[in-house]
Amino acid sequence: MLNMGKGFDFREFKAKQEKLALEWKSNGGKVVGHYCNYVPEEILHAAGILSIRLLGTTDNITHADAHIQSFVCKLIRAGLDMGLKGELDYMDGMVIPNTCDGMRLLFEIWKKNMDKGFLRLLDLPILIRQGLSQDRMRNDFGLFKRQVEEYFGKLILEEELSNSIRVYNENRTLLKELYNLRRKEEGIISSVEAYEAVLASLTWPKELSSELLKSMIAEANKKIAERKEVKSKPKVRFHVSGSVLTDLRILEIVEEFGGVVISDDLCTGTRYYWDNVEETGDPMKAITNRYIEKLPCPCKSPNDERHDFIFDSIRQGDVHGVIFVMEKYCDPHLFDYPLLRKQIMDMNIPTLGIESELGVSGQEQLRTRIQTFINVVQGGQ
Amino acid sequence: MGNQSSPKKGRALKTSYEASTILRNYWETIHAAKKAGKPIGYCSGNAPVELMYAFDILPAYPENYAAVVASAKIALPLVQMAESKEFSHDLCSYAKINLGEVFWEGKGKPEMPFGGLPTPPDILLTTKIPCITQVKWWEVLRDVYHCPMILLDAPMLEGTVDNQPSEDQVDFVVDQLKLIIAQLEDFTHTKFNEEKFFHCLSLSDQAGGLWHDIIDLRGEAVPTPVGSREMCGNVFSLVAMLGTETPVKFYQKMKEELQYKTWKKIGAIPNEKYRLLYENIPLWYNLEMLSDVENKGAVFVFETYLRYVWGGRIDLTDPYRGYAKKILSDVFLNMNLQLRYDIMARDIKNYHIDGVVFHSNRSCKRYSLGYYELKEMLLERLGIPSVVIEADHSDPSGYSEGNTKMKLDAFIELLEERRNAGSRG
Repeated sequence: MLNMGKGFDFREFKAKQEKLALEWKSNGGKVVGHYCNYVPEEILHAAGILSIRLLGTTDNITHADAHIQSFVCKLIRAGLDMGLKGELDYMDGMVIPNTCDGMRLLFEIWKKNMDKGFLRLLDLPILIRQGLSQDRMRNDFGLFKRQVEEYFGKLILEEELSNSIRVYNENRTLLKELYNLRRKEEGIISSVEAYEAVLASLTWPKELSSELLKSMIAEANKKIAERKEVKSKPKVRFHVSGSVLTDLRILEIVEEFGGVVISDDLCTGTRYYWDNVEETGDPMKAITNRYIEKLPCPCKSPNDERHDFIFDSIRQGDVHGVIFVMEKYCDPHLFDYPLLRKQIMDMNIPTLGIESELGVSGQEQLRTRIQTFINVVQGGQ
Repeated sequence: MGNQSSPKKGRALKTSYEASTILRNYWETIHAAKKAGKPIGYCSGNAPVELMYAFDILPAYPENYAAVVASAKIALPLVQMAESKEFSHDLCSYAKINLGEVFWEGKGKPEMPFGGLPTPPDILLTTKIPCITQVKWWEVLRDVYHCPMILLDAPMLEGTVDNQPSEDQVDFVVDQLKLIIAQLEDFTHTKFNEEKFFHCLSLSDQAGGLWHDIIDLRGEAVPTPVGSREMCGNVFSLVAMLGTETPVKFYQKMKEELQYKTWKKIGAIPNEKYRLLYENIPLWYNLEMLSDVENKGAVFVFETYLRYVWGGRIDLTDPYRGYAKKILSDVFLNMNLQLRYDIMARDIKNYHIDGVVFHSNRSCKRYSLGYYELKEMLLERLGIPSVVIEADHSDPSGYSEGNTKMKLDAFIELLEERRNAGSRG
């Protein structure tokens, strides 16, 4: 199902994702796009809607520059560009949460130019560890559910929500299983494959994504059982830190030079699937609690929990280096970076910072930097 | 907000000369307080400063101080120092100036105006109302100084015609304020003095009211008695001293002078032809930009930055809710695009404005995004032309003074052509 072993191409990935969405539509289904992993997708799923995370495009920006300045991240500019070009016309709606300043204003620009379908701003609190903000989040999620029901004319029943929770939990559990498996049995699943599987989970029908994950895990277990995979040499193991990682060629280069990514705190990684929803009790309450308690994004305050997650991962003893993939103009991540990096280096873990705009231009330079970094890390082992 | 450098002519208002004394006194007081062991809090823009005064915590403003540094034209080495410490070039230059000072290493540090910010801060107070930058920057300060950080969480104004937040939003902010009061009680080990707080709110409201009168007086008057450049130097006490007597006295005096000048029809420039609106934070390192246009008969008579970022009225009959409403509704950056347009459209009419200058400020996404939409809306719906200049509020690197001048000159020529065409037609 995935593009295994052929070299990752985001365009192909996107084409496949669009094909699946159109198939969903041709069966009478609705599709809603969204940014950020604070959108309670379970609610959309319970209303029978396919929710798709917007991951941008590697294409050049042609329409968005007339509407938004270039000092905003490519994820925002690319999504707007796709919308303006009509590439998202198949979607029945778009949900943009109030996370960073760019996202907040993106909603305004979106509304001014594409005020159609189910277009909603999800204005969530920033202080997620405070009771008052948690109450507000409960209200916001409740309102969101009512808006979905009203717009799509579908009352969401409790049992439907509970079912969606199970579907999403299964998917997240599988992603976590895959994560643990590749951490324990390095090399059994390539980093590229593993992260492509997360991108698929973010954009495909969940049931289909889970099928794929099950087959990947089964195949990996089979390999382990048959002991087919012989480790030729110890791999250099990395944690990848950042927001969205869609240009998986970075991982290909890491692997090419004998490295492997075993851990991450990405928005298109653990931050999406690490935490499950409680399956007992009131489903709306359980869903809200999950989004309150989940591994937080740097757009939430305080920022320690994500950092602790990284330190904990490093303390497991199998991480040799940290690669930061930082989206240009992403203020929340860029503010965290210098002190976070220093703390990691104080743990005697080398770091590499890569600037990305949904991809890295200058592949040769990138290859050299990654190769040099792997040599440095290996020297220190 | 910043002190002005080398004015090419005297101030239009005598009262403006007092601004530098206020600034100097403020800095002397805060350094003396620090020396005496009194608590100092670093406050960000739009944080509830009246509460700090109510608890006898003196607020220092790293943001405002960065503007002072930029207007003293010493921002660059500090920005570069922050960048050398891995803070991205693309982050807000206010933050970079401050972090350049915080992380300064080695020789060559510029002499900091007023002796620098008092360090270390004892407490940090911030809010997301104007931007998330203030939260992320304050988290860095928290990690550096290991002191408590208080954050006022607030929703963004969805916008209604009368510019009022919803009751739920007000409730949320009121609850937050009460929580902050409890946190400050813990921090100071003192009981909250509500009466003192209400007095601070009353002073804040008076200053806000006077400031609005001042904005109206100079905006409505033809010719306008004072331009933007001078007024940017007069806003400091509204930024940092709301809740004290100082801004009330200062703005009372300024208002009276303006009343006299507008009655006498004494203009800031001899032959006022074009009235401009300035949108966004000024270029602190090049405030001349705001007065250079005066040679061509144009004058900036109104700025959203001066009117809708600092100060505001408070309904004192219901102090907590009144204060929450003010915090939520009087900040341009916390408004949605439609509301920003509605307010600009109203002010353009009230202040007889001919054209708008947008500063697309790479350091302030929250202020700047949406300008291309606003530009189009102003032209299509009101026939008001505008120009967008690209710059940064405090980082002079990459700024092209020549290009900006050319753009502004061409814009004034356009206004002239439009007027000529209009008078012919």
